[in-house]
Amino acid sequence: LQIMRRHFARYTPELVESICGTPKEQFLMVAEALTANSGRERTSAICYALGWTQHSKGVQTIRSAAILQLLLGNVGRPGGGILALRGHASIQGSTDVPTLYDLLSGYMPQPTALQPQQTLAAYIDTAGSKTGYWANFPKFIVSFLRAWYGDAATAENDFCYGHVPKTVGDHSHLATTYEMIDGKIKGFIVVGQNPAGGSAHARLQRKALASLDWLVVRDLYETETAAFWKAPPDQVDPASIKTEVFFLPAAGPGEKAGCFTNTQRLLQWKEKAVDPPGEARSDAWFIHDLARRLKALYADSTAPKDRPIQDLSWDFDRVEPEPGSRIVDEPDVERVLTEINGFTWPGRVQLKDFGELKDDGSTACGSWIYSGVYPAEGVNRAASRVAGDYVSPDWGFAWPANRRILYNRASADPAGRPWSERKKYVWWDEAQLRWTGVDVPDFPLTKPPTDPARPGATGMDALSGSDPFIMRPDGKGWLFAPTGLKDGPLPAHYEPAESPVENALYRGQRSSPVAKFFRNRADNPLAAAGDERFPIVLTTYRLTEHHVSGPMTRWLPWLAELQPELFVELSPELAKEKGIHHRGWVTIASARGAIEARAMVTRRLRPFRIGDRIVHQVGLPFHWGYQGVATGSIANDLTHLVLEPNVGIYEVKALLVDLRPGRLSDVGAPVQPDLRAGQIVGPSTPDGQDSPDDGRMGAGVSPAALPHPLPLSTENGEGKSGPSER
Amino acid sequence: MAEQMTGSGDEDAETGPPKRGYYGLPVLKVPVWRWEVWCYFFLGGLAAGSFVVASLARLCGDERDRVVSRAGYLISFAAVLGCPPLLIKDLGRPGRFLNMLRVFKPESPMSMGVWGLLGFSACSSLAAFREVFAASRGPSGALARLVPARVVAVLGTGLGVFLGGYTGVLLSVTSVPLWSRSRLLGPTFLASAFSAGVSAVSLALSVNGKTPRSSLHKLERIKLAALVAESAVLAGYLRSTDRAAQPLVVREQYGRQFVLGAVGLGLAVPAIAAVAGAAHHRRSTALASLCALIGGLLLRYAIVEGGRLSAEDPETTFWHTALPDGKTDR
Amino acid sequence: MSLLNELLQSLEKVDPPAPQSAKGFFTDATVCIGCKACEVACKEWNQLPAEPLRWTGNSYDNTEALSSTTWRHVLFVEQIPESRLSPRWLLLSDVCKHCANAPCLEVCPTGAIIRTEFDTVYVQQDVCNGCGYCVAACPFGVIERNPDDGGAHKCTLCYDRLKDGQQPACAKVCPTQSIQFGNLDELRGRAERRVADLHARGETDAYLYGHDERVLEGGLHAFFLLTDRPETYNLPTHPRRPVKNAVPGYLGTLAMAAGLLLAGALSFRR
Ligand SMILES: Nc1nc2c(c(=O)[nH]1)N[C@H]1C(S)=C(S)[C@@H](COP(=O)(O)OP(=O)(O)OC[C@H]3O[C@@H](n4cnc5c(=O)[nH]c(N)nc54)[C@H](O)[C@@H]3O)O[C@H]1N2
Ligand SMILES: Nc1nc2c(c(=O)[nH]1)N[C@H]1C(S)=C(S)[C@@H](COP(=O)(O)OP(=O)(O)OC[C@H]3O[C@@H](n4cnc5c(=O)[nH]c(N)nc54)[C@H](O)[C@@H]3O)O[C@H]1N2
Ligand code: SF4
Ligand code: SF4
Ligand code: SF4
Ligand code: SF4
Ligand code: SF4
Ligand SMILES: [Mo]
Repeated sequence: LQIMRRHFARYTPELVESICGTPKEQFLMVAEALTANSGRERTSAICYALGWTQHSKGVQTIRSAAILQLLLGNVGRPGGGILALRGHASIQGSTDVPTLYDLLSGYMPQPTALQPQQTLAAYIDTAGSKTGYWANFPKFIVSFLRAWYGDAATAENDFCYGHVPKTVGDHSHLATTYEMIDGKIKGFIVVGQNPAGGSAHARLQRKALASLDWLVVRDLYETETAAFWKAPPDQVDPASIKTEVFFLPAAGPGEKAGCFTNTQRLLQWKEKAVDPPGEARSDAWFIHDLARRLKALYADSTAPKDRPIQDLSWDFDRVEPEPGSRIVDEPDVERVLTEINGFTWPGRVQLKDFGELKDDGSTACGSWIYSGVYPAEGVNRAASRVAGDYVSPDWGFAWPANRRILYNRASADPAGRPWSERKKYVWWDEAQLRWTGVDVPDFPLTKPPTDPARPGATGMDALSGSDPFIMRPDGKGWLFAPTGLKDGPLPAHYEPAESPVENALYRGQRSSPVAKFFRNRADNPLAAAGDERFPIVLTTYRLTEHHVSGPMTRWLPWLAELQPELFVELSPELAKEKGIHHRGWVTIASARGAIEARAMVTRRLRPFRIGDRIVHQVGLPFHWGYQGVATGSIANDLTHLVLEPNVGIYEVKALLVDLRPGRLSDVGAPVQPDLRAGQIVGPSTPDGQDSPDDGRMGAGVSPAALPHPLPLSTENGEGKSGPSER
Repeated sequence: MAEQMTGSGDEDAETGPPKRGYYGLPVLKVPVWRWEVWCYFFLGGLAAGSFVVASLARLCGDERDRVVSRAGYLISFAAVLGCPPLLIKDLGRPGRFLNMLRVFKPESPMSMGVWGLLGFSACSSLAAFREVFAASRGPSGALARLVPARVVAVLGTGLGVFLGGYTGVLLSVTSVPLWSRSRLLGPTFLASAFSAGVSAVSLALSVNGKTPRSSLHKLERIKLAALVAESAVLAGYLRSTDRAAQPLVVREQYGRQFVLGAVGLGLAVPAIAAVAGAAHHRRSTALASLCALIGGLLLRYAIVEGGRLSAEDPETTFWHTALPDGKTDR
Repeated sequence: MSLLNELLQSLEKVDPPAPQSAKGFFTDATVCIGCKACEVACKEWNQLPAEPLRWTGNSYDNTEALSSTTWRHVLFVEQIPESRLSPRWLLLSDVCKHCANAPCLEVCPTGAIIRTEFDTVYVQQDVCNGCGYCVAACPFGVIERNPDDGGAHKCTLCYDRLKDGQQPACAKVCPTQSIQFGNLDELRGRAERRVADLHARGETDAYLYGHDERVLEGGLHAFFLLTDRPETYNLPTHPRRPVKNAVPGYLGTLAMAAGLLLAGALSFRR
């Protein structure tokens, strides 16, 4: 606590004002409201979304909020918490039954070759924990392996642990982009994503697609990704692209049954409304079909490397055809949910919750945290729809164990009494000697508040009855986080990878020292601080009328008419300075590319005073592309690919650009930085991590060597750009 | 009141964003009525005016004025023939013209107008039929002589007065400021219908050398009366329409037609001619009559088309719909 | 024979449905978030075509006004002073007012526009002949003649849905209950309480537009809670009732007729 106090002592309201431009009074108003509304009787919640996450230091910001909430007593209590507002319908699901490369299931990490995890025991040793609830890790992983490999998994063969692929670096989509360009990855299956428009540094994305041998796109529409080779902004001759594109029509959300998991970890089942049209099929059908074909293909192989496919248990065929559907070969998604919920092995009796999981192979479970969602044949709790007036436990199913608030032991004081009558939620019932309340207690039901921690013990016995944070080895909320984060135990301020100013707090260390800059690459150029070619801050965001990269909305005339064209929002002050007219055209350029947009001159935007400087900021929605009904420039042709160190998100909320009145064609054929030129200019490390430096221009590239995307007037000082490193 | 401020960073906006209203967009929908409508208004007025003059000659005039009735009824019939096609052409769904006859709706001037036109057409046709065939032998002549001329004249005059004036009332029963600010558009159109009718008859008779001079003089007197009445009521209309009349005077497009055409050519020239005794020179009479006719057409043109401008201008609408005391209604 | 039957049948009077309690909208501008869900839901339910794509630069509003194919329209009014202090963003979902004394209905010469059993104003598409009178009569610029089918169109107050006991599509999707649908008396009471509540909270600009007879002498069945003068929302403060001009107009015409006829008669007599 004292370290923390010392660390944050410099962050005074005055400093906040000078760095962020937030007036001190406004900052204090928020701070006072938050503290006044936190205490025994009142709690505050912090909800965040992309304004916090899409930065090269996003996790640091959220960590700060978590520290605040812990200090204010807003964790584990009703009305408190820190809530990530998720974007897509089942983004939360991507960590639960993961689509993320570094998670296996239920927050168990994907085994990696970079750690000693060659055996199951070693994996459990490094990924699990001896104390706290993670002590049950062996049950989770063994049941998981049983679900994947069925009868082939035995105690003798480590339950086929060896079959599970190990990671050897950063395999996230964005890092993978570079590997496609470098020819290391030859094929790409894209299911419900549009990287050619929606992902950061979209020009680079399209270049990556053009470097592939084959590309499969499953989508509802012929997206920019499926049609990347048509890309007008790139002006590439399609004949020069070798990539073979397979476009597979996908069923839309209403055309298939399944489950969404939202931000409160709530699983909600959704019924299918109609059959998909024509050849369109659900994504589950595609995976199911692919798995069956692969199993058939390798059925007779004797090669050991094919064993994982041969041993994979794949048991999702429908027993009876779906009533009322013309499609007969869709898999039974309820059987998938059954496996995720878990059952006994080999009896296949569904489990009531993860308390029943065993580490001896007698249970199978696809994702332990979901256990209990389908506790018996015909009982799909995700489909339950009973609305109550408070906690509503029978509306859907919340993992874990239908618990609506995590760590809710913290809603009672150390002695187990509610902090306040008004906010009482889970408490120790002296009469019955057990935890009780309006929610499922997140604590061993009969472990009394007075239970002392037993040093040297394992599991929950190592924690005292007053330690609510049971997923931590010590049961405590961590203000100071010694492990787990790549950027350090306490958050600190850094500027974005591209910023017009230096870091006022840490001279010489402008942006996050651990962010993945890919500095060894010439195709991800960055503007340096003080780079006069790009003095304006640009941020990107959404409009109500469109959805992310736009396929689901720009194709729909009813939404296209509401926001037909890409526009950039700028302040009247900046417009005047630049000679830009409201409703006129503007060309916007960054170190990566140039686009055009209509000018929306509005006082919604205002110039910032940062220190003694006026910094202009412009805002750009990012929903457009060259396909569909409403078309326009791709905002992500401007953005760069610098990734946050922990979660690998790109920084599209802050970058540097310049503006000129007029269309791209008027401003003069913009010299688009040639991303095809020499790609690797420095040594590469497996995960794209490179040596920390002060956040200046990428190693090996002199900014002067980069053509400015717009013809420059002389007084702008051509070549007079930031310091180069060589 | 904070000012409205979107996209007002550039010069266009610097010259002043609209003080009130919504990005200067119209409050009203622009009326859909175009040339068919002002042509119909003119023809209907002409038919009515010439019929009424003919009937007056028939009922009050002497034997020599028969030429007036004859010309008037024939002109009326010719004009009325042009009306239905224009009315039908003007519809968005011309095939459903007959739906007009589903209802008889006193509060709708258009409904009344259709019925009025129907009745008037009957009178006009009968009168013309009688004029043409009464003298001939054979069954058509016998039939024509059966037509009760006086009854038709009286009935047709009543309906004609309605036909001549209802078009103005129709326009004033709208929300378009230029049309509805004043209640004098009905009498204005009627007076104009009258002057057009007289002028048409006078034109026809003055080119015919056989017309008795006395009839021409009578016509000239009526014309003058109509012109004076029309001038007076038009002045009253403009006055009471106030700033909503701007499209008629200020705007280039309709201003020229209205001021020079409708007022100058249509009122001033024939009135001066009448006062100056043009009736003595057949050619001047004819010319003056022609001017009055053109003026009558331009009057309707300017007012109907000017209504579009009027509806497009939100400031006029706000002015027109402000509370009498200028306060907002809270 | 069958043709005659058909003709006779069409003349036969069918009893209108029994009147229900009057329904309407209370649209509360203070809670609208400008999501335009109402606009889209209306188009979807009524299968209305999109307007031609056109970016206006008028804040986030690209449909600009109600039209024959846009029956709900969300207005965006930004009031941000140069100092950027206390900015206001006024949002309002506009719709046909279903006027108690509806000028469009009063002037319609075919009887296409009727008052339904829900006391709403409805255009019978099979009757309308596209004369355009309603277009000029509506004081709010709501109803419009469609160039493609020649007929006049506007909000039906989801007559088809009301008949099925459903609420209108726009009200149903509105996430903030800015659009409230219901029995008119109830809505009026609720609206008055809401204004009182806002006043108590210091939002003294709030007032109701069209909830009583001050507008068009009978009020609007779709009325609004606003916080700026009506003109800011492109609404006329005190629209006049067009039919009020009819009788004076006819009387004036009559007087003119009398004068002219007298002059004419005298001229011929002499
Ligand atoms: N209509 C619509 N709804 C959507 C989506 C859509 O595309 N369209 N997308 C969905 C998805 S995938 C997601 S992830 C969510 C995202 O929802 P949001 O997080 O709301 O997404 P954005 O609009 O990109 O950014 C939000 C705000 O972040 C602010 N911001 C930028 N930088 C900073 C900063 O440094 N600090 C702070 N505090 N704020 C900052 C910007 O002003 C912007 O208004 O929306 C989901 N919902
Ligand atoms: N500059 C900038 N870039 C950003 C952001 C930003 O704020 N600024 N935000 C980022 C964020 S938060 C996100 S989430 C990403 C999103 O970017 P993407 O992941 O590319 O998301 P979408 O554009 O929605 O593409 C989803 C595709 O899935 C298709 N689809 C919909 N349903 C189904 C289905 O059931 N099956 C299949 N197979 N396809 C389906 C849609 O038609 C659409 O083409 O964009 C990111 N990009
Ligand atoms: S608002 Fe216009 S269209 Fe709607 S009922 Fe009133 S007059 Fe008719
Ligand atoms: S256009 Fe149709 S609805 Fe409007 S007044 Fe004419 S007939 Fe009636
Ligand atoms: S009531 Fe129905 S028709 Fe009228 S605006 Fe709402 S959705 Fe559209
Ligand atoms: S749906 Fe409701 S909140 Fe959204 S724009 Fe319409 S009225 Fe406003
Ligand atoms: S804001 Fe709209 S799209 Fe998003 S969850 Fe709510 S209803 Fe669905
Ligand atoms: Mo997202």
